[in-house]
Amino acid sequence: MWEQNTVDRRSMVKGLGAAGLAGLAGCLGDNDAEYVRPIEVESIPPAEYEDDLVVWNWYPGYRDWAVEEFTNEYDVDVATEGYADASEWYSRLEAGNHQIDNVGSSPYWTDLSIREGYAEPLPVDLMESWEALPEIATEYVEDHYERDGDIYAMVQTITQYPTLTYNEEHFDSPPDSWDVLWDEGLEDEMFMWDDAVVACGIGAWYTGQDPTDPDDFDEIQEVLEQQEPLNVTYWEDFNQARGMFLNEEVVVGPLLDGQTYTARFQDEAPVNFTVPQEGSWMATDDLLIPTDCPSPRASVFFLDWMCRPDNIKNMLFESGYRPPAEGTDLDELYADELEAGEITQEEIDFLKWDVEYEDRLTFLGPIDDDLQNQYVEIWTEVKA
Amino acid sequence: MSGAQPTVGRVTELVRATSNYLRDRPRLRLFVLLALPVTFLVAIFVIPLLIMGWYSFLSDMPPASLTLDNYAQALSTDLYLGIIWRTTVITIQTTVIVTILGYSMAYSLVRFSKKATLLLVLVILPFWTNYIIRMYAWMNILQSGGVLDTLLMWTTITSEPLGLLYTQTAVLIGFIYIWLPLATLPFYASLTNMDPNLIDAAKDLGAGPIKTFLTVTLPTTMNGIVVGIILVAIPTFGSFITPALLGGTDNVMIGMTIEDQFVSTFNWPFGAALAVIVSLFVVTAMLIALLLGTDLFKQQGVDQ
Amino acid sequence: MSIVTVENLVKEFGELVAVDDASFEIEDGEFVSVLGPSGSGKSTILRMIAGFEEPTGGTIVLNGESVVGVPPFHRDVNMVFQNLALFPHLTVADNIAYGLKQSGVPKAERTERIEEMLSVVDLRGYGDRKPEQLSGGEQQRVALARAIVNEPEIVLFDEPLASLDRKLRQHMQVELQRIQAETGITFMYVTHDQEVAVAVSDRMILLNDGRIEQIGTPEELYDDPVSKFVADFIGDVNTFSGTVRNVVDDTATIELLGATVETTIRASQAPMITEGETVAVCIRPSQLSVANGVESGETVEIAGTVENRIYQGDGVTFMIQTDEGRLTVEDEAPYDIGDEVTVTGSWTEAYAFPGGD
Repeated sequence: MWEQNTVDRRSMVKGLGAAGLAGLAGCLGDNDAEYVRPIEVESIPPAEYEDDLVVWNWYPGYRDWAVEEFTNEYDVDVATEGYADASEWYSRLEAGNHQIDNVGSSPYWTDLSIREGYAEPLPVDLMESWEALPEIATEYVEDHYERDGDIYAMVQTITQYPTLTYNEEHFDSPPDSWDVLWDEGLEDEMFMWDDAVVACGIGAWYTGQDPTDPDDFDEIQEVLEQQEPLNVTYWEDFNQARGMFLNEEVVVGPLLDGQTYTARFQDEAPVNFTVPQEGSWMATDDLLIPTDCPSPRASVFFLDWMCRPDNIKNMLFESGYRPPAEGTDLDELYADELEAGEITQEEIDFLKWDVEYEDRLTFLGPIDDDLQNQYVEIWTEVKA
Repeated sequence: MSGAQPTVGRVTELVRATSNYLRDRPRLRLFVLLALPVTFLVAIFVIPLLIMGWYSFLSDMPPASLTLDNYAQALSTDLYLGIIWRTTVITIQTTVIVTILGYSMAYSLVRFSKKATLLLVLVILPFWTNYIIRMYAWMNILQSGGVLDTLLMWTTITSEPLGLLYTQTAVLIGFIYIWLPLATLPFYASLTNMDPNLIDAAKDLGAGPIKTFLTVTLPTTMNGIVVGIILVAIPTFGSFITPALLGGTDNVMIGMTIEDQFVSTFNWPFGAALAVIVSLFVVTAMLIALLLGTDLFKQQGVDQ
Repeated sequence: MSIVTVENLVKEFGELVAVDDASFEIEDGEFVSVLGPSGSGKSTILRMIAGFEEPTGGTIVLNGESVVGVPPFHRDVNMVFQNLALFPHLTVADNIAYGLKQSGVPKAERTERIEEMLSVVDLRGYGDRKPEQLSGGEQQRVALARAIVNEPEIVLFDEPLASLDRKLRQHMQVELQRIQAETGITFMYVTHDQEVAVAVSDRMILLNDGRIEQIGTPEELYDDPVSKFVADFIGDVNTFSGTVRNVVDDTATIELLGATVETTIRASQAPMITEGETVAVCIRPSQLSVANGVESGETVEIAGTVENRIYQGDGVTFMIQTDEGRLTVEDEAPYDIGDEVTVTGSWTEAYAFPGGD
């Protein structure tokens, strides 16, 4: 019954979009516009798919590149949207989505969307991109985004987060511990990330606790309060953070691997990063197909297409982020570009994760609401 | 074409009949006239406010049960009250400085300038540039060894870089820069509306320039001053971008805290409760300031 | 004793000469009007005495001391502004108190003087009101009270009655005279309205184009105008062009409208009226008469048609269309609109000024 309703609503909405009010009567009985769930497609590319698509993604560089290529090749009309914050699209899903086909997410929002039934399961067995994901990523997805044997999200990128980014000219040897952020000798030469979870996470690692399950919140707050006067500022914006490294306003502080890459190879700041021995996180940026989307088949096609190694490798060139691929695969992935001089071996090596870091990194999955609230309160106290 | 004429005639007739009908029924006419603006106000201002009020009593994102916990949480520690207090202090500082600067600027435009319109356009010009971009420009100016430091050291006013960026001073400068044009306009409007003879009259009656300013110019332009102050104080109180970009580690303002609740933690109910508390605080403070400062509500037409 | 002495006062605004070499004196307790058409420089003279404008040349002596360069707030002069300029944010009492506060009069005395002044201007019980709650006439009184409460050497009026209706204006004129008599303060009153000036002033200063045309009592200006401008400005005149045929002592024989008439030459005009000169002959409406369309036997007869008749208290003013233009005649004759009439005059009372029509 519910299915039947959905179908009717869907064809009506599509009719409205395609032909306007005038075509309403004719479309009500139109069975061609049946809603085929992404998981029901029999192949990729699907035998039939819709000719328009609405894509929300927060990596505008790669998004626009992919959209242009995809449009040229498959003649699908794609509209795009960007956003600073995931709550912008999430509130639309809450209100009943009839607009967004494909959206970029992060673990917290992916998990929330799956729990609330806003995400479609994906036909991963048909997806070439799923096949190519490194094991570390498929394991993560199966751990967190799987319900009753179905997979509800795809990985767009894996980020090391936070990294301990530092000015190479200032350190004789790379700082290897979060302790460096409490080094009074570096007063006014460091910053902290103005993000409750990152800051409290660093506080937890520094005090030897598990940041996803700490037992002494007071201690975390205490050390962050000690750390506060050593900073130039708490930053909120990636451009600002990279700029401060470039202008040598700071020599060390938490950042992302992708942003460190951009700072080093595009801004040409003398920066590099380590993953401290106490540990740090990896985090995915995910892709979802919202339920009730107008073009489910085109969406699953586009999702798979944009995550295939040959395409997703352009994340690096268009958005400065590493594609989700295992270390040694990167040489293979970028072999053509290396030959063409579009990338250097140094860059490729920079992207390969250090073997010794693999033990230090754990995936930061969707974070628990209570923990998040605790961290925000601690962080607010520290800033106040 | 031949069919169009009668239709136009009928429409004209209908319009005329309707307007006659309304003219004879003043209450209905009033209702029709007010319907649109009232609907607009309700839709744009009242409903969102009510929704926010409703959210502030929810235990979780809806659907959820009603509770007072959000208010209890906000008021039980001095954390949020402390931030509100700090926000109040910087709001007052900003407002006082902007009012003095903006009023002096408007005063010189009105009294001493023959090119007032051109200068006024220059005052408003920065509005054409995006807020964030202007804030980035200030980051460049204020940063250690930035434009300001270079200038000060080149003119040997200082010997070392000041590095004002990421301090309370930088936040204050950012606010002053952003709000100055906004306050100058109502000041300018009230000063041009003021009868210049009043100044002559005061001087004629023995008041020197300062006395004249304090006893005549200032009180007769009070409406404009109040408008300017409100335009500056309210957005300053709620702002979160400027302090985040220009401020350092101890410049948190209540707007940033509320933003965190909505954006990072997705704890809308608590964010809404904080917002309600802040709104009540700001409205109360403004009303008290108005009652003490002017008789705006008692006295219409002061400008004449 | 003279309160104000102005000598060779000049005010230039760029190219424009607003006041050109004005000299006059105002005696203590006088009510002097400064009269002239708009743009004649009368307000500029007033503003220079008040201190709002600095003269380009000449001197202003106030009660024995030169005030050139002294700012307005240090001059013992008060002004009633054209638009009154009452302080909108202050009550009537506070408006009146403003000057007293500036000169440091203690509160008790202030209250007393305000009460006194409110009764002088007939506004008892109005002290707590705001100016906007008063009528136009009441506001005038407040403005006046605000000026005279300070007991200045002189009160300057910048056409404050201009905005009132005729009846109220006449009432205020009487009030002004009464208050001036009661307080004994010197009043200097600027206006373009000769009726007001004639009604209230002890003496008048008549300005034209930045220059003083004539100074004197209203009677002197009316009876003995020194120029056609003065004659025309103070009361009406009918003007004709004539040629001087002969001058004997103070009597000139003038060829006018094809005949000759004899007029008495004023002493001030005598040197300028010479034989052969073209002159403007000005005659007051009261010196013209209307007769029936028959010949009267007078030397100068002007035929015309009654165009309009206006009853005034003591007679009728006729507008008569003639070949010489429209004439204004005051007479008691019983003619109606459209009647063919003959206008005659008692020409010895007419004035002759150099320069023709």
